[in-house]
Parts: sequence; structure tokens; C-alpha cells
Amino acid sequence: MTSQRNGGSAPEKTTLLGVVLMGVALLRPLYAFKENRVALGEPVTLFETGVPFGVIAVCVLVLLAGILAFAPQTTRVRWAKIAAGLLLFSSLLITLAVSGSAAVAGTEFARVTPSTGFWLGVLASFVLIQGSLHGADVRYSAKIAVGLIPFLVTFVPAIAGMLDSLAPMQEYYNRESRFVSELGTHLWLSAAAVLGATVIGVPLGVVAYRRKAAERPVFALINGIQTVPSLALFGLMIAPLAFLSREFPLLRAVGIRGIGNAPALIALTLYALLPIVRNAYTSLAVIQGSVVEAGKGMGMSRTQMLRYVEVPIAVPIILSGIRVSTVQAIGNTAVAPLIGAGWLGAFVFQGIGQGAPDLVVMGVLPIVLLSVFVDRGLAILISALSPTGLREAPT
Amino acid sequence: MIEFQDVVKQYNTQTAIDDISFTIGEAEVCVLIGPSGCGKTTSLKLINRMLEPSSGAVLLNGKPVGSFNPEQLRRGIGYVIQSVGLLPHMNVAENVGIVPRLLKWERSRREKRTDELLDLIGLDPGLYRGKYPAQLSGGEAQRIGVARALAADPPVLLMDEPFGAVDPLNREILQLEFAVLQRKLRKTVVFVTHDLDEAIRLADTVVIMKDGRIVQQGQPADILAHPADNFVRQFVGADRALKRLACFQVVDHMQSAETIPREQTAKRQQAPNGDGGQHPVLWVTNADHALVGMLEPDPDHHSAVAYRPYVELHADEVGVRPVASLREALSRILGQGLRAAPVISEEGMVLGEVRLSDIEELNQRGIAR
Repeated sequence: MTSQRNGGSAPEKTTLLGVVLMGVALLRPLYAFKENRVALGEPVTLFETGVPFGVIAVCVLVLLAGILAFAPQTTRVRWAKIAAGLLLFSSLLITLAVSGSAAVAGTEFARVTPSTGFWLGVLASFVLIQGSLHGADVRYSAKIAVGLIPFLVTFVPAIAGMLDSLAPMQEYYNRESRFVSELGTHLWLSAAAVLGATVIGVPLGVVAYRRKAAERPVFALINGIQTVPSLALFGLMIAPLAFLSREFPLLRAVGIRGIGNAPALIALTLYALLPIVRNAYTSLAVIQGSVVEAGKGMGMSRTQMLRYVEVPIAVPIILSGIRVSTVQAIGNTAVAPLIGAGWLGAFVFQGIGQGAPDLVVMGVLPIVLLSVFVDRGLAILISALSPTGLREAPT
Repeated sequence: MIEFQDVVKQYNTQTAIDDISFTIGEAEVCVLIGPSGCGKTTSLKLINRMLEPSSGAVLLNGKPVGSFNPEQLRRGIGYVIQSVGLLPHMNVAENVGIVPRLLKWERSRREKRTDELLDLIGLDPGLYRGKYPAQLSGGEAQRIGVARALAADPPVLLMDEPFGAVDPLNREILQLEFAVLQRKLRKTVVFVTHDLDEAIRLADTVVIMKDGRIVQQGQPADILAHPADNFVRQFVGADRALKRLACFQVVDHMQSAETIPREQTAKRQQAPNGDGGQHPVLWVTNADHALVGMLEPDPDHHSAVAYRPYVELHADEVGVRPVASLREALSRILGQGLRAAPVISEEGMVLGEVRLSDIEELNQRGIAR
């Protein structure tokens, strides 16, 4: 025991993983230099970037993390690892930006694409940060602050134009106005799907709970929907919707056709159902039984039961279902362009079609970030709305 | 206080309660007991109108419960259930204060009452007031369930297997605590259990039920001595004589004991004064009158009374308290291989003794009667 505590035998495994990842990252190219959008890239490793500050910073930070992995994991050491992770991420990004700007200076179409070395390095940074935050006795607000720093470190230089040499940024500039409108559409259509699923799903969960005969068919149906691949579900809807649209001009007038937003919205709503129905069902199962019997036995009226027992217990559970659905919907929406709807996924498919991986990255990154932010935001909201005794730290 | 008059409860074709009538007196602990499905819980729930009888009536203080508004009625009756049913989103103080809140007590009065109750059940209010149910052990949650039922000081307490979900060790502690509490509060308690030992420990009267009917009712000792039929005989078990001893307290069956100081033991052994073996054991005490050992008569010695050599004893191992049951006393007697067990005070002083011969006689008398 004592020998471990004094630093020696047992390294902290997550930190070690981060160090190993970063070690591999150093051997891989940091970025690829491209003459133009579709040209084959020329790999450049960190050591070839010609940014001595970056090389030294990264090497020192990796060494430091390696040493910290073998130290006793006190609060101070954990914070040191978190700082190392944040600095590592920043150093990689700055090195990339500085070297990239220098490389493309004076050219018209040249650009640099972040490569495996960069992405692995980012991963290593997050392993260091998350590994040290996880299970640490850190206040939630501090965790949020730490989580926001990488985004600040990325967005501020991006807005200031310091990352303009990067290929995804170039792709973004080419489509700036369309990007904003697609982002808006993506957001509100995801929201509409979740809203629709909530309106249908909560009563469905209630019915499934109240009527034993309905329970099996309801869950068989919505579980079944989940197992249909999204592409197939989109495809399945084309024929019936096209038929309806042709037969009923009124439907066509409000924009319902075999392809486009209508089938996408329906499919997304169907996918969003499962978590909502399941949690609505669970919330009722939780408030039935002893809690309700005790409440009734103590002389609560129907409205008092609702106010003191049912709503406070059920609402957080239902909201958690909505949270899962929302994150799912944001991801599922990415596939919607395949049946003619637009949205952020359109950039992904364009990128694939044009053989331009940078455009794919440009489409994927906002979807990922959107999911993460919405998930965190809802988690915090649910936690704030939950009664103290049922509150868990948002996860 | 509570009276069942020809009560029948039917579910569709099934009869859960088949015409029962009995009375529960004020400040009495009445235990309803029987195998599962016998109708004991159903009977309990008829009292606070969680269920309504198909025919007949349950009277509370002479008025049918059906004439009360159910919510008002329930607020005036404490209710404890096996699963406790603490509301998970409320802390201990809020849980205990639910009924006062429903009765629209002022906050300050509610808070005062909550602290009072936590004290009463032996939980430090400062420590427990703000805890949430998820942070409580099973025993603590159960105690708070009892406190919650007592919050508005109702005269009647309904308890549906309240200690059934607690481990045996804690269950016994809770039972003893409840017995002490009841001696202080003197509530009218209707208590449902399937644990016979629990019934014997707590009941003033026991009502044994089977298939929705009452098969026997009476004081625990009487039922154990004279089971009404084969079902009851089986239900109380072949060891009913032993169980019956649990109904009696040592203090009621104590005899005077003979004690001698430690320094006189040698003299006594050399010169037995020939008291004819009236006392089965001589208890030896130290200067503080605390039990330290004993002298036992030697039955093989024919001249007058002779004693075996002095034996050192630990008061905790051989002695019983006045509040202990005769069953416990018997187990001490048998455990030590003696003819009697000393009754000792908290300080270890010998107050008297319980003799094996008295226990045997009590047993004979009970069964013969």
C-alpha cells in the first residue's frame, strides 16, 4: 500500500491510455497539405510543421501526463492532468493553425486537412480530461466550465479567421448562408419530431400501462420500428405518401409528398417514440404501488395525490425519455437528405458524392456538437426540475 | 373502539372475508394473523376505507366508518405498510409532516411535531430531518414510517406487516421499540402479521384467521395453551408450549433467592446449615452485591445439604432481567445446566430467581386448565 501511495507500482490506467494514444499520434501526420480541394494530400507530421513552440509544448505535456499517471491520484494531480489535457488540445490546434497558415500563404486553392495525428491527439486530450474528471469530487459547475474550454479554444480562433487555412473551414465559407439555414431546419425539424413523439408517446405509454391488453402490442410495434433501419423506413414511406398525395390534393397543398420533409418528419417521429413511451410507462409503474397506497392511506385526495406524489415523481422520468429521443432525433435527421429533405446531413452526402472528405467533416462536426450541447443542456434542465430527493448529478 | 359487525367482502365470485364479527378495545394491540390469503390485510383495509365491505359494517367509536368522508377518516388513522411507502422526493421531515400538512397545520407547528416524533423513535432530528429516503437503512425507513403514522397523534394505528421487510435481527429490535412506544402512547393498534413470534411479543389479543373466517381469538397465552382446532394447533406449531412461555414476564414469576457474600463460601461448604434444598442454587455476590458465582447443592451427598465446589459465573451469561420472558429464562437455565436462573438488575444485583420447577408447573397448569 505504502509503496503505491508514494508513487511507483500502479499507474493510473486512463491517463496511461491518453499518453499512449498521444504517442501514436506523434508518429502519424498532423495534417495533409492539398494543392486544391480534390488533390491528394501531402502528409506532414508534428515534427515537420516548423513550429518549434508547438513541438516542445506537445512533447513536454505528454511527458508530464506520463509522470502524473504514476503519481498518487490526489485532487491536485487530477487538476494537473485536466490542465495538461486542455493545453495539449490547444497546442495541437495552434500548431495546426500556424503551420497551416504558413503552408497556404500565397496560394489560391491550397488548404490543409487535419489528419490522423490531429484527431488522435484530440482524442488523447479528451481521455486525459474526462478520465480525471470522472469520479472526481468536482462540482458540476466546474465540470461544465472545463467542458466548455475546448469549444472556446476552437470557436474564438475560428471566428477570428485564424483557422481559415483548414479545409473544413474553406468548405464552410463556400456554403455559409446555406449552412445557417440548414442548421435552422435541422434544429426545428428535430424539435418537431420530438414534440410529435411526445404528444403521441406519453398517452401511448399511459394506455400501455393502464390496459394490460395494449401493453404487448404497443411495445411490439414501437420496438419493431426501432429495428427497421432508418433508410428502409424512409423508403417504405415513399409509396403510401405519394399515393395519398396524388389522391388528396389537400394533402399535396400542405406539402405532403412521397419525398421531402413530410416522410422524414414522420419517420423521425416514429423513431423518437420508443424512449418516450417507455419512460412514460415506467413513470407510472414507479408511482403505482407502495407510494400511492401510502398517500391514499394517509388521506390524500385525488388532486393532492397528483400534486404531492405523481407529478413530482413522474415528470423527471418522462423528461429523461424526451432527452434521449431528442439526441437520437438530431442524429437520425442526418440521414434525411436521402429522401430529398435537406438539413445538415446534406453536406455529408454531398461530400461523399464529390469525394471531398473535408465537406463530410464539415457536415458531421455540427451534428456531433449539436447532440452534445442539447444533451448536456437538457440534462441540466431535468436536474434543475427534479425534486431534490430524486436528483442525480446530470450524466 | 373498533367493531366488526357481520362483515363480508367479496370480489366477484371470491369471498375474501366471510362474515366476521369482533371487537377491539381501546388502547389494545390486536394482532390479526393467519396464512396468506386468509383476509387479514383485507380486514385491516376495511377500517380506513381503503376497501369497502360488501355487507356488514365496521364501527369506529360506535359510528360506521362508511359515514365518514374517506379522506378525513384516513387523516385521523395512522397507517403503516410493509413497503413503508416513504415519498422518495421528500426528505424525512416532509414525509413525517404529510398528514399535518394535509390537515393544514402551520409550518412551525409541523416542524416542532416532526422533531418531537424523531426524538420519540430514537433518531436524532438534527441528523435525520434533511435526509432522503434513499439515504436511509431499511430499519430507519420503517421507524420513520411509524413516526409518519403518529404525526397527527391519531388514536388508532393500522399496521400491515410493518416489520416484515426488515432482517430478523432488526425486526426484533423494532418490535421491542414498538412495545415500549405503545406502553407510552397507548394507541388502539390493529396489527397484521404472519409471524407468530411477533404476535406473541406484541399482542394483547390475537385473532387467528383462515379463509376469511376467524378461527380463534383471545390472549396469546390462552391460544397457545388451548388451540381451538387442528388448524390452530398446526399454525402455532408443536413448540407452542415453548412459545407460550414468551407470553410471561420474569418479574411475575420471580421467587426470592438466597445470596451469600463471596468470603463466606468456604465456611458454608464446610458447615452446610441444612436448609433442606429449598433454594436450588446459592448465589454468591461480591462486596457491591453483584453476582459473581454460585454454590450448587450436591444431590449425591446424603448427609444434610452439601455443596459442590464454588463456581464463578458471569452475570450477563446466566442472569435474566425482570422484563425478560420466561422463555428466555428457560433458555438460560438449560444453557447453564442449573435448576434456576438468577434475576439481576442492570447493575448485576440479584433481585430473585426463576426456578425450573415453577416453569414446569406453569406449563402443566396452562395446558390442564
